[in-house]
Amino acid sequence: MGYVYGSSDVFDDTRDSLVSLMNTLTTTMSGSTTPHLETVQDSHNAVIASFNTASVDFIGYDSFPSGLDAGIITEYDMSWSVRVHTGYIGSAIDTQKITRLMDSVKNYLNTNKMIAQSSNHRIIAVTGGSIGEFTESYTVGGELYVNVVKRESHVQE
Amino acid sequence: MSTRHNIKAGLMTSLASITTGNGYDITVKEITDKSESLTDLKHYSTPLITVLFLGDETQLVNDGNNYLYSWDITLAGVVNGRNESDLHENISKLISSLKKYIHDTTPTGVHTNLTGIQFLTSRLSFLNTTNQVAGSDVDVRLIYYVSGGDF
Repeated sequence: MGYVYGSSDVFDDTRDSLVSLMNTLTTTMSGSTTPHLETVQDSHNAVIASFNTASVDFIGYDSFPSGLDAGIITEYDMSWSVRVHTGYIGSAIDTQKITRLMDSVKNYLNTNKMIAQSSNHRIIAVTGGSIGEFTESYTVGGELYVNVVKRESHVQE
Repeated sequence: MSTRHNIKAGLMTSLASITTGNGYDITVKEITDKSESLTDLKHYSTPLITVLFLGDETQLVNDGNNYLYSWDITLAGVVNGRNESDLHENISKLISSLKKYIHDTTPTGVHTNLTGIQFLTSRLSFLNTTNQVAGSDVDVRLIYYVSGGDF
């Protein structure tokens, strides 16, 4: 039994791809960058047990008709949020540490815009950037927004 | 034993590291989780820390598999002193030592599931020159998580 009806799992696929990308960044940063990320969560509503941690979550999407093929091609324009968490609410908000982590995330995502070439989706822009408290995880940190586009052919039934 | 119970035991063991040899202002002689009357305090060595675990506990995060809690406890300290000035000095040393402990301690070193220790408030709770004892309360927030229903 599948997780969704039909062959298109655009949102799951993109989440997995972004988390995978962030995990690669975590490995790359370890031992070479201070501050660095320790782990990545696939939801903002997560129990975070170590710092610094990143989390990825869905914000919303728009879709547009993009042409006709064997099916109807639809372009999905998705908004995702990537957060870096540096401590629990009540601990110091270390602006320098947070902005450095956000810089690392921004740089890595901007140099890996073709998330997974085989699945035909890519990052269009990494935008935003704010520092604050996140009630879903009871943490402090920073947040970036990532726009991802994916084209999907829906074969007509 | 439950995660909560083990965190409690771990904290009481860890508080024994408050000694002048470890860089603190005072050496804690005894740690208990029993709340005693003023007259029964003479049975304990001071400085004494009574860990009062019955504060507020709040569920902060529930992600479906894991739960994050805050657990507010009080570290109630008792010191001896020959006079009021002595009592003030000793209680001040105890409070500063507890603040240093909270600042310096790696929570996961106390217990794997304890991921945060935060200072909340401190205050003088009593000062009794007749019995030559004084007490302070240091309120502390513990942040811990449980997985798989092992509360």
